[in-house]
Amino acid sequence: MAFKNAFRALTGLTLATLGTAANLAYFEESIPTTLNPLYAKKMSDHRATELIFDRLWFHDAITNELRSRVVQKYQIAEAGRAVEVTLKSGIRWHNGQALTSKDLCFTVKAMLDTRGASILATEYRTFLAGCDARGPQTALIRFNRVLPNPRERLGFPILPASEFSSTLISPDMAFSARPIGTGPFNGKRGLRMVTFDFFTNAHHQPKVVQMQLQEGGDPLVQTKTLINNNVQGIIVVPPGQRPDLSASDDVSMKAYDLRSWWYIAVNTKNPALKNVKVRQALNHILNRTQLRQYSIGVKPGDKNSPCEFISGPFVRSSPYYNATVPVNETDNLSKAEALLKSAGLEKLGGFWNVNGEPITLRVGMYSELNNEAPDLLAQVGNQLGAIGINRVTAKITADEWDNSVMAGKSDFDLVIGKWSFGLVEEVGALFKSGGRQNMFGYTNAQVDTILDEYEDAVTDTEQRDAYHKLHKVLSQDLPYLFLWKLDTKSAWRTEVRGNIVAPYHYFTEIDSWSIDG
Amino acid sequence: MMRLLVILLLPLGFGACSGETGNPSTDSSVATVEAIDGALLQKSWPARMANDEIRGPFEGHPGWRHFFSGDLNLALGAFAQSKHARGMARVHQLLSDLYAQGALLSANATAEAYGVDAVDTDPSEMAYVLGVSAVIRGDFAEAKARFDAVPPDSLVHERSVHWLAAIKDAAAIPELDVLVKISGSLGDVSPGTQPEVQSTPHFEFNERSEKARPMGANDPTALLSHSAWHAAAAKAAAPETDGSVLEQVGYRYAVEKRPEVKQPVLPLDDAWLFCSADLSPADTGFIATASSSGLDAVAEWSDRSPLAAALQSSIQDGRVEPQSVMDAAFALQKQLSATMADIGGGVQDFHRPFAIRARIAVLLAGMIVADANDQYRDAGILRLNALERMHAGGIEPVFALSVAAWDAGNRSPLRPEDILHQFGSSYPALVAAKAPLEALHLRRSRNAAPTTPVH
Repeated sequence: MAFKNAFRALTGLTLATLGTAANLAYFEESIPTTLNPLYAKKMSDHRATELIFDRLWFHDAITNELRSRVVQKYQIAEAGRAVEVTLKSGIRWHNGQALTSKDLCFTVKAMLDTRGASILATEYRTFLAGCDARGPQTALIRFNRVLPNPRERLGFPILPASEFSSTLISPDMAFSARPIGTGPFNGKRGLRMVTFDFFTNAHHQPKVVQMQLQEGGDPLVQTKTLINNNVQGIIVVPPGQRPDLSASDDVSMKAYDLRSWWYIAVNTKNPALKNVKVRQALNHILNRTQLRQYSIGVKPGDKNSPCEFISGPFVRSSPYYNATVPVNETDNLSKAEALLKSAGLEKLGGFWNVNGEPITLRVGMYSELNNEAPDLLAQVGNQLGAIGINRVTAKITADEWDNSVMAGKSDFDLVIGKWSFGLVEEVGALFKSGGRQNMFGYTNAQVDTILDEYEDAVTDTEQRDAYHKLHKVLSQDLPYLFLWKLDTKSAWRTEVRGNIVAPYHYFTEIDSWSIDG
Repeated sequence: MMRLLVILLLPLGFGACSGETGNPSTDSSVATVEAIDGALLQKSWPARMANDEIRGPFEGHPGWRHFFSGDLNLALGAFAQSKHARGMARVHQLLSDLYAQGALLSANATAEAYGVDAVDTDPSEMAYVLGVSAVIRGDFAEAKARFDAVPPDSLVHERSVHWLAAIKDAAAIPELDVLVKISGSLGDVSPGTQPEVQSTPHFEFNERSEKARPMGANDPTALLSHSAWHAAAAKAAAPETDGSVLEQVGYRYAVEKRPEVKQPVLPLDDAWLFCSADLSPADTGFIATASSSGLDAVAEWSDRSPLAAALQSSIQDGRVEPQSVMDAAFALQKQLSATMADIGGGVQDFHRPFAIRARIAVLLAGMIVADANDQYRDAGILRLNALERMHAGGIEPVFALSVAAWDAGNRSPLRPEDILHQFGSSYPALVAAKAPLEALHLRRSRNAAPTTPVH
């Protein structure tokens, strides 16, 4: 059996190499930290895993129709508290084994295993209750309550039971670098590159033979490399590079629907920053217009700017954005100084002191953001320095971000970052006491109450109003200094055809991609 | 002449973006690709306007300058100031299309949020909004049922009675006088001006929950009224001879199904064509035909219409091939660039934006034919490709709204929210479409697969 599976796997790869010489290289924001979809934390992780795994159900990138490539049929069961799913036959894992109901139930049970540390699984545990195989291809997925349209909720990637010894899946397993999926590509992560080899299957017929994910460095180099056809795509093109690429007939700019907003998170445990007046002063010290101009290149008055200021944790077009909360577009240094004084700080020798000691803030920025907003870290530092606040700046690597900043162990006082969202724009994990992504352990009873109101809301208006209230409170208490939303654009060589970019997941329609010539 | 060109192109900043100089030059990299018969292409407005004398009147007029950069409000003001009848008529016609698409956006979002995803707590008065939405979506039986369900003691009962009367004998969106009787006066129709905009929300209905919270709601009738007002203004502004032109031009973004009539090639003044997705007068007739007859229209018009000719090779086995349409569009852009360089004696800055508009025009024509040929997804691919192509040169507001309406009909709220956010401040009446779109987002979000903030 094992030999048969290995032969099948080999056949899949052989067919791949016999296909047209259609290789495609592209620049990502960064090398994914994991190829295990349960532990995907960065957008580059999510985009990479979309090539390797099938989600049970997904939305068509064009028509938004709810579709599945792996489900033959389904029916609602147990009065809406379960759904019976029959998987298609003939679908193989990249190790050659057949996809069965055992895999589906294994995935559900792995997400229900509370020993696992997956944030995504935690979210699924809020409504999944169990899974029973009812035949080789049929499984019953049970919920802890009646779900109005369960298929919409079941967008998780299916994992292979054969690759794990138990339902406890940890992020450091070899699977994270060399995963096995049923998706169109078999992925392998190296230090500098991730390669994806196409895998022929009953439900996927990709036309691209191999894809190479390379880490995007200097945006200018990325642009030149694309124009010279040494890579075929760039996932995230910074605004400064867009005009050059738009002017080329060899390149197509692609819209990538992703809701991303930028922030400076404030360590509210720092002796000076725990005082809300100091945080409010920082908010007035920032000259967002200058930051945007010097780092992203958007000048005041530019029409159709890709970068728009925000005053809370949502993009302006979101229903959750509270338009009554004003944005500080420029600095107000006299107000900032007044706030610092009223917080008990003194300016001595041109520098602000607290308890007789000059303040020194350690400011960090997630390093890969430097491509989209070059020099932002330095610009923020300069603005702090100009008013008399000492600062030490440092770029934060991906490892440091995961293991130190997000683990709440960093010694930074201010951290510049970006959060991205799709349809779901929930921010409770960022601001709730004990929230899984609450990087500085921020606590505010009023915020917690509002987030509970949001969770308990019965109607749309209750839910929306709760987040409007949250926006207002956060804009005053300032655990984050909110900066802007920045839209995301990709660029692909025109030889790459049929390249539909799916909102958020990106490569959902990769089977339609091909390379001309 | 160069100064005038700079003025024309300034709003889009193409010179700055491309890094090209304004000086004519011979560019050997412009390959001549025969996408369509060269004689046919010569009749297109971009080719003809490569000639300085033909382009001249458009370059110096501030109305066309604003029109070129997609600002319909400023364009209308400038045309009004110079009493440019066709300029005013064209902008009013586009504004009519814009608000009609806004109404469709509102209707689609309402039908999905409060129809498909209805919940018990929805105010009973939403039956009225659903009724108007059903009219806009062309489902008159549904509309009558919804209007009948409006509570007699509600704020909107009288409106529902008016609507029932309006659609009793004719299954059609009524005229301006009826619409304003329902949703309120917009002021007298006066070409070159804008109608009054009602503040939103139009109503507050109480949710049927324990808390009975007030919920803002808007009447899509107001958007239909704005559309009808601008249509009437276009008619009033246009020269008498242009009545049938207005009729034919209106097919492209018509919300209601229009009668299938034999379309002639009308003598279109360049004021109807400049910067248009119709490259020649025959294209206007072709698009009006294609919206109902699809593939047959391509065969019928390909000897007259540059767009139909460009699409011909993309029809394979009775279907529109989207990738082939994209190739044809690019080929036309290249051919047009070469043609303009020939006419103008070298490459000039305005050639590229003009040629890109022609490329987009082919994509839009392919989309219309695919839609009429029941190729919904393929039409969607072309629709989104056209939108992407517009990003560099400025998105046309009417097309953007039509994409938003289409998305809302697909239960997809994010792109429509972004589009409405982009254009809502310029065209404030559109804000009436925001509430149902937000409801669609909230309802879909509550039942979506979980995700977490990602860095």
